[in-house]
Amino acid sequence: MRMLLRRATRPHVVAAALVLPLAVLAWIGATRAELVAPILLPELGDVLDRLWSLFAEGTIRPHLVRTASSVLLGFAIGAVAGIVVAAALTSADRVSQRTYSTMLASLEAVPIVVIAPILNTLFGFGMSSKVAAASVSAFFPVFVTAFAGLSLVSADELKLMRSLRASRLQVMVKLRLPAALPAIFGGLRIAIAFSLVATVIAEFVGTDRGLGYLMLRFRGAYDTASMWAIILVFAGLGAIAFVVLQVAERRVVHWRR
Amino acid sequence: MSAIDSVPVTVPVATTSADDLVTAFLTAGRRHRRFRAVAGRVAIAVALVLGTWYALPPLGVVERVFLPAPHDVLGRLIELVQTASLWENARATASVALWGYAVAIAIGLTSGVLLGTVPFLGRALAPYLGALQALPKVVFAPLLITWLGFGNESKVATAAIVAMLPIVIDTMVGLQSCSDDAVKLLRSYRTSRWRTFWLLRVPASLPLVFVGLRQALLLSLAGTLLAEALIGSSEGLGHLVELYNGQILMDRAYAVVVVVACIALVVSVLLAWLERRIIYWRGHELT
Repeated sequence: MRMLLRRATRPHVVAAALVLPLAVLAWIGATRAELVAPILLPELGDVLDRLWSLFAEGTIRPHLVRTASSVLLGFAIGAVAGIVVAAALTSADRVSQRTYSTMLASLEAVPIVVIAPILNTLFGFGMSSKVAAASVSAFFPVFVTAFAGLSLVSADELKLMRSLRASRLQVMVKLRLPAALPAIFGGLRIAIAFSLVATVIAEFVGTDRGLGYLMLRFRGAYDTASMWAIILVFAGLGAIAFVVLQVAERRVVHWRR
Repeated sequence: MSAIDSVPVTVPVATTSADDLVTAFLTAGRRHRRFRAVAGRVAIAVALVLGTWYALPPLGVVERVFLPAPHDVLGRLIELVQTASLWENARATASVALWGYAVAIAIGLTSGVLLGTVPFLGRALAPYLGALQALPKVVFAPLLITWLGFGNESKVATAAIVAMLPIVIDTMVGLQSCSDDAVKLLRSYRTSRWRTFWLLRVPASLPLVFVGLRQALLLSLAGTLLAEALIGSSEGLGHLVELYNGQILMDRAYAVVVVVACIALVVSVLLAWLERRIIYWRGHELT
């Protein structure tokens, strides 16, 4: 308790806690004094009003559900694919490993923005094109980190497993995967952020539902307060994803720290 | 655990591959046999991809209109590369992306240095930087377009906002990355803060700063392409993809995607090479 108190009263912790109220004050002050264009930054009260009514009137619900499910589904597909491909590659010979991991990782440089319209044409304007975009962007960070993590095991450890007559599957599940988990979680954290970005981009490019679509609709009406409300929703989504992954990581990688 | 540890350092995802490519080029001449082995693997992969690509439409998975044959795309690509319009659009995209990059570097480096050298500020703002990382910056694009209109300003602003954060975080973490012992050693020689900064912190930060700079350039390109698509811009590669895709001229759309991919790849390899020249001591750690 005492330690907690001491920790909580450290100057930087206090300062960190003060940043948010200060930012809110600055927002209110700047809009009241008309320092910023209201079209860029409307009054905080208006934004919160819109946020409240978006939820209270249920306007946001179908869009939120569509975006969240696209992100989650795409994230799941991309992450599983990334881990499976990485695991398959670790059992190949060295030259193949280097060649294929480099080729795959290079593909990541292709911006999802130019792929998204094509995915829309291929899969239609519905949810599947968003899931496709999200899983493509989730794949790469998971693949890269999983591949690096799965290759972490030492020759001695491999020898030991072999001397115990461990099968390939056992080596993978009992040795490689646990060694790779911390790295994989690092990749998952990037991947969830990437799949959120990819989903939004795909929704911007063309859809009939989703938060990205809603945002463009408000842009058409020059309703910046509502656009800020949706940005806050996105911030919330990002924060939830971050916290959930953090908790999952502590649970799964319990032997660390 | 300090607050800093909870900020996930941006992982150099795309950059590792660029690094590998540079290594491959640098060592290719010296190791013919290895090169042949690698080329064989590449050939297998290309054959596999092309085979699937050719096979999908006849199998009824997708229609030929949406997935034109590879040789058609290649033909269009060769045609497209010879037209002036492609390069004009590429120039438009590149100029916006570079302006956005410049803005991102100016703001990102300044705030990164501030956060990295004033420990109090860094610790107080670290949780918020983490939160900002989780927020998809692209959601600001429609807002910026509403504010700045449909010209180049909103594209540059979008590119800058999308690209900025990795520079801030990597600069901050990089400047904090030198060892306490090294700092103590310099202090025992009564080295001034200013000299410590230039002699120790800056060189120690460079590897990570470069990771941020590399990421930021690719992000700035992505932000530009997005803004072009969103604005309904009349120029730029993002506009070109949208245009051809909208007219279901898929072979041309794919060709433009190939051009964009090549540009992104060349840029990241180039930066990786530049990084090797500048941070020549990498691998022989300074601190």
